[in-house]
Amino acid sequence: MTGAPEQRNVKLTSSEGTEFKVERDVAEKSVLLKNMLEDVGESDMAIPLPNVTGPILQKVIEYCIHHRDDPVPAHDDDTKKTDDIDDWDAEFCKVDQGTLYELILASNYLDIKPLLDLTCKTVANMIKGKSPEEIRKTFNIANDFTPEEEEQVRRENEWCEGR
Amino acid sequence: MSKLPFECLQTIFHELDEKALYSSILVNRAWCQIAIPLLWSSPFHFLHKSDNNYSMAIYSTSLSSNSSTILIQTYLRCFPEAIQASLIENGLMLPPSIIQSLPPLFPYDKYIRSISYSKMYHVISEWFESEIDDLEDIDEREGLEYLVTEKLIRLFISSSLSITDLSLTDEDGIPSLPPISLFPNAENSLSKLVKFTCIGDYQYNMKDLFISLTGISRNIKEIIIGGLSTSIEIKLFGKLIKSQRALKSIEILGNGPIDLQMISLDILQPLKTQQYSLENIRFMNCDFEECATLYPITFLPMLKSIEFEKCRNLALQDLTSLDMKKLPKLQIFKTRESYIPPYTLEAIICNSHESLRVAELSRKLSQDESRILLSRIPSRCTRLEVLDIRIYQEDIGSFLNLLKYCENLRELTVFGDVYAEELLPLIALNLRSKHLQKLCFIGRWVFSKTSMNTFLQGFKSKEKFRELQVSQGQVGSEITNQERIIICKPPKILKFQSNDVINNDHLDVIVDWVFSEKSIKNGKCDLEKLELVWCQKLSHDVLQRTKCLYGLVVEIKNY
Repeated sequence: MTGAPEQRNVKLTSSEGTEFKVERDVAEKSVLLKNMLEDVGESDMAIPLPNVTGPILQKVIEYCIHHRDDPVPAHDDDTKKTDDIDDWDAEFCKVDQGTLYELILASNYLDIKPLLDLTCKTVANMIKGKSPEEIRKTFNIANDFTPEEEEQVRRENEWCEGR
Repeated sequence: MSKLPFECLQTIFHELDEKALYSSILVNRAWCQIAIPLLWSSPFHFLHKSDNNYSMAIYSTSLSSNSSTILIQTYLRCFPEAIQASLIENGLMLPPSIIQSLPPLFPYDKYIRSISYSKMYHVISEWFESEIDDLEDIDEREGLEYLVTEKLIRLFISSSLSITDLSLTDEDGIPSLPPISLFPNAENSLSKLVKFTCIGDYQYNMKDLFISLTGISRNIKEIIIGGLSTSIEIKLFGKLIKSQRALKSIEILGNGPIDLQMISLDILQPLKTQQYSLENIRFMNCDFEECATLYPITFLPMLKSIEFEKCRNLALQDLTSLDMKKLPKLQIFKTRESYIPPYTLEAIICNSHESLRVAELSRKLSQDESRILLSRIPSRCTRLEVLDIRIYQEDIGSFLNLLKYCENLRELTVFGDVYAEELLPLIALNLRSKHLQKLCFIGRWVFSKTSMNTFLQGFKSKEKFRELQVSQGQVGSEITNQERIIICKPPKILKFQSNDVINNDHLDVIVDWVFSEKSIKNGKCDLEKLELVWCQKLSHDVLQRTKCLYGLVVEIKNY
């Protein structure tokens, strides 16, 4: 990697004020930060991220470092609908539900599409293969349908049952 | 979960299949609201998902018509009363459950994103079969089936927020649909069309459809077209291509090997307007007689894939043009059962060698063509992963050379009628790819069971045989002692086709080899599938002989 311009570090501040230093190409995995850095230019000022807590930011940075050399995903949404998540990513997502939601929120806010896709896919995999009751249990959701409503929803949508 | 914003929930739900969506709508009201539009985006494709887009001939009767009935009943309840009334006026006895019920919980018709005319027609036919059984007159029944289909399509066009996938095929027995891009509200609902499939049997008049779509849909990414009949239709199709902002993929299909689609410059020329986006071109059953040149294709620098399948008259005059332009991103080049002049092949390989991953070349290659390719490919196309080529006896040296250079080969298919007593073992020894999955030999490869045995052993203990081979100094004399020894694992799939030399002795050798592999590797064998297709010398008890090979799939087809 000779001849590459020396990377400036970028400073980020989490919601509780903890400062993180990351290399610029890692920070630029976030489209939000990339645009900010392009607008602001070189600066020693830390970028405040009031929506992201320290532990979550730590995780997000870990992800961005691991994937720093990945090609930039194409603009149009031709992400394939696949179940294959590689080992590192699967391990990365082995966190409690609360953390997983925080990661979704953070990747949505920071605009890191591959991380958003990964975390959403992980939640989707928790839904797949479960009955409505099992889903409610998994995600701690109350059923607010009236029995009549529930019956009507079932009746109008039954065409995709058992196929 | 409840604190996630709506758009994140939507991203999650987008990952779900219909089955999981169905569970989701029954969880609670909030989930129902998000999942319903996704579940109803392409219900007809879901009910007929395994069917090919354009060959709907075979329908499994086991498909539960129950699903079709529930779907159509729900849609019929979405119809405005006036439409329901007009269906009844036309003689359709709508079941009372539909007329008397309350409107559905959701405006399901609004959520449709994929329309496939033939899939819809078939689902509606299934509904007729199970619920409208009192129609004895076939013509009347067909008329009504068509009427319901058309009314439903009109409903979709008028209420859908956005249709992204539109497929119109003109099948036997299904009446032609009027140009649906002229239906009310088409200018809105079809404005974001992404995929457009239209296959007619030359009788179908596509003129008005093309004219109106040209004005409405400018965001199409993928076009599949077949059965363009008149030169006006072809010109109008060209205009449709020109009007697109960023077409990515185009497929032009003839109806069959004797019913070819004529290709003219009126089709090829407009492709130039899509030079910043067009990645895939496929021609199947096409005739290029009216086309003096393929020149426009060389102006498409984004091309990743070119396929000519069963095409005729590609023998073009001014192929020097191909040398001038480059296709720097071309990864896939297939010419199955089409004759491509050798210069074109050579030009493609010279120009795109850095990117080329898949080269499927005609099995009808002449000796000269094969020789050119064998000499050009090795030093250039080192990234090649899939190769399909014909070889001749005189060129086996360069073929072995190719095996050494193409270290990324995953699938190799070799056509030819070759005396391969020495060659076969050398193939195993010369293969350098660590990724080889599939190895196919098609044609009359002549070799003894000893040769077969040495070939198989070559995968196992390469080093030993390398020495042996060098000392003999035979065909592969280019191989030197200093060479890196890379052990090529046996392929997962091994196939011999159209070979009247392979007999039961050969098969026994394979069986023995698999046994010895398994005994060395704790019951495992890299070879997972053995295919023997059209090998006449194999007697009928081959399946018996291979029965003892647990875990290995053996597929045998004979005349």
